[in-house]
Amino acid sequence: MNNESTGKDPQNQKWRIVCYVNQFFGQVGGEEKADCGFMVKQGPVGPVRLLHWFLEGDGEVVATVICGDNYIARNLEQAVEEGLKIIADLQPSLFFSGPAFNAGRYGVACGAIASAVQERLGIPAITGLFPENPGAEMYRKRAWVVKTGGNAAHMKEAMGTMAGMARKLMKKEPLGSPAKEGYLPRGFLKNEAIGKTAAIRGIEMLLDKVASRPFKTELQIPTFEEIEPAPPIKDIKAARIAMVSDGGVVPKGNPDGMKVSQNTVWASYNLGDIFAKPFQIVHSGYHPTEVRENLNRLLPLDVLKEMEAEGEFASLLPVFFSCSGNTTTVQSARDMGRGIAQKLVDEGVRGVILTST
Amino acid sequence: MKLRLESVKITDVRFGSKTSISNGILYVNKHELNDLVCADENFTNVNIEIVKPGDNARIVNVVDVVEPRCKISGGSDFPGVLGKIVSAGRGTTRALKGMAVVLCDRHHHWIHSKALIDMTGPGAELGRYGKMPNLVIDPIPNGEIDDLDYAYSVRRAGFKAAVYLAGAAGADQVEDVEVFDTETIHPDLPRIAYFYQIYSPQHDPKGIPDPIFYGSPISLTLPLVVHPNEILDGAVLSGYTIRMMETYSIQNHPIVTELFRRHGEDLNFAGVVLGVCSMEPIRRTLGAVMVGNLVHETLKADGVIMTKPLGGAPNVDLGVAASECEKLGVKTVLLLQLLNTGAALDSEVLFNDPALNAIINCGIIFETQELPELKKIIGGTAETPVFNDSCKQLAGQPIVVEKRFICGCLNQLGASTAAAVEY
Repeated sequence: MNNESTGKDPQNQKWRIVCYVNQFFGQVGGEEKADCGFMVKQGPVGPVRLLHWFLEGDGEVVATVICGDNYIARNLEQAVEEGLKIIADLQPSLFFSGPAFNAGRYGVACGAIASAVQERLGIPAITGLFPENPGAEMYRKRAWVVKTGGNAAHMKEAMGTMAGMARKLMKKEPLGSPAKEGYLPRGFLKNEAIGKTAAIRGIEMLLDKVASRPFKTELQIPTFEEIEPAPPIKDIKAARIAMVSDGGVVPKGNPDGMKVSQNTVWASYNLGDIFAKPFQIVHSGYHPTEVRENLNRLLPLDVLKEMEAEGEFASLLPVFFSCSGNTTTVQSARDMGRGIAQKLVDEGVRGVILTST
Repeated sequence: MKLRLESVKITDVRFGSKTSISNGILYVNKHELNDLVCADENFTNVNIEIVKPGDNARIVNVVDVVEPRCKISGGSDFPGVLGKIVSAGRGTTRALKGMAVVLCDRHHHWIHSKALIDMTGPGAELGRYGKMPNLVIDPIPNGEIDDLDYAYSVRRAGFKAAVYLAGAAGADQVEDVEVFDTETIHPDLPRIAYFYQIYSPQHDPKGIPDPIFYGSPISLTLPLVVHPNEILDGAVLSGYTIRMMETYSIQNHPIVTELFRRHGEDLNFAGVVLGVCSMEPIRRTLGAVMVGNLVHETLKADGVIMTKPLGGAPNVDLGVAASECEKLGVKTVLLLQLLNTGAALDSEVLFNDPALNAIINCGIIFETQELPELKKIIGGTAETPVFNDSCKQLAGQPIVVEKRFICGCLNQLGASTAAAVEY
């Protein structure tokens, strides 16, 4: 058993390192051997020797796990389970896969296995991928993915960065930003003080832009998905209508735990109840005085009831859909929207009044 | 328009028998100041406290921070709020540098509208005001009072204190003089303007706009050209809710002062357009078209730098205004803050005009910070709620707050060096 705080083997005071590489780097063979299953070789094999050398003194590569690219790609989930069991039996305190550079199948395998090891064995797992490798986007939030060049010519450099990161992770030293340490962003943002104030940086960037000198924006504009509007409702008098609002109205007590900002929760509530019983506004992006005074200003039930009575449309769905839309990421909004839209379709709703704040 | 700003450096603040300055130490006659600021029927009393860097103290319920300043000639103090309305930005103003007056409002409980200042620990490290001596004005409300009426009283008390303190400085104590004017034109240098969106009606408490321009509310005002001196000299103030644009940062506006500094060096400061965020699309478009015209036709700018108040609507508004400028050939740079810690640097902007390719990252406001328990609570009590998502933590405990609530840590106007980095 490894020492819990240092991850070192009590026998030789070194980290027990296990690495995974494919059939090619594991010196089993080329594409013709891509179907071969898992095998374990003692100690470092092929390029893994570099890692062993980089970490000399602190760690020892006890085994190299090798598997064919096709074997893993054919049934990724099952192969990861099989590999994970083999790796767990070797009792590592540190794990590496790849680097796979821009190799697609191999990159996905490296990311998948590293993610499983990190999440389920609770030890640092580091791989190395070219940023365009599909495995990079898939796994950069779950395992440590070092940014590498596009091919094996960058092996030494990649292994050096991977080893450097491993040292910091194992010694629990603070890790700098992805840009500084050479790994891919893991999906969150942190503040860092950078030399000049935003005001000065802004004026300098503007002078560059005006003079047509090169400059580098600090934030990029997003690429929005083009959404084609649904076709108009053919027969509005036969249509069922519903209300959806991101104004954050919930029954008193907030039973679904909506958040005032960065919310990811949506819920549906009975319209009769929300108008008859105490409600609250879970939203910190607007001042809800008017809504508190008259909920019809957020959910125009008064007008819709009149229109329903006059036969302007067939019926109003007796529940409405609520979420708090304030500083929500596009991804969360899309997820909530999909959930709500599915319910609306299930209820046979043809048109929606969407109110925002 | 020419403004002479005289600075007196303050290194320490103490109570004393006579309000005066000696060797950089400001002595404050507490009774005299108390009589001055307490003369308001909305207060039963005013606590006046001095805190210094290193004190084991936390100031809560902070609604504004002001640099002590008074007019020596050519204008009135905080025109429209204290003094009669004459143009700000002319004549001579005297400022006490290196200290601040902090205003606390114990009365209102509008969510997400107050900040705190720690005088020691990580909060003091992060915030601008934990690093300087502060004189805290902490009134005690007199019974049932209208929130807005009370907020106005707090502001008047704070500004009165700021003027009173600055009045202690004599002409012989002035150490530095800056003259702000843009009268000399340098035809070989580019003309750079500033578009300053100062307010968003989405935050109007109770639907009533804050009086932030010469003491008047300007929620429905279309864009207008002002002289940059007016901004530095008390015409533009923070709203009732602090939101990372406190008056101190307007008096020392980081963009306006930097544009002045560079005027004649590598640019001409072409002037300022003030604007207010619009709440509906027709007015937004109209506002944007007018910003474009004022910047291009009136100020004849080659480039414009743009800032916004807190909120998503201002983000959209600013983008539309910037697009109008770019259409007219005026280059733009926008300062934006980020919100979501779970986002990426290419997913937080609310517009996607490819011409808007120069955006400054002003930090992420929802990042949280642990702050330790501090002994002395000023501006409230140990039981004062300190806002976080659940609004349940108390000032006298170890707390976790979003960075936006640490006063002077992040700033809408670009005063902070913090930037969001992908991790």
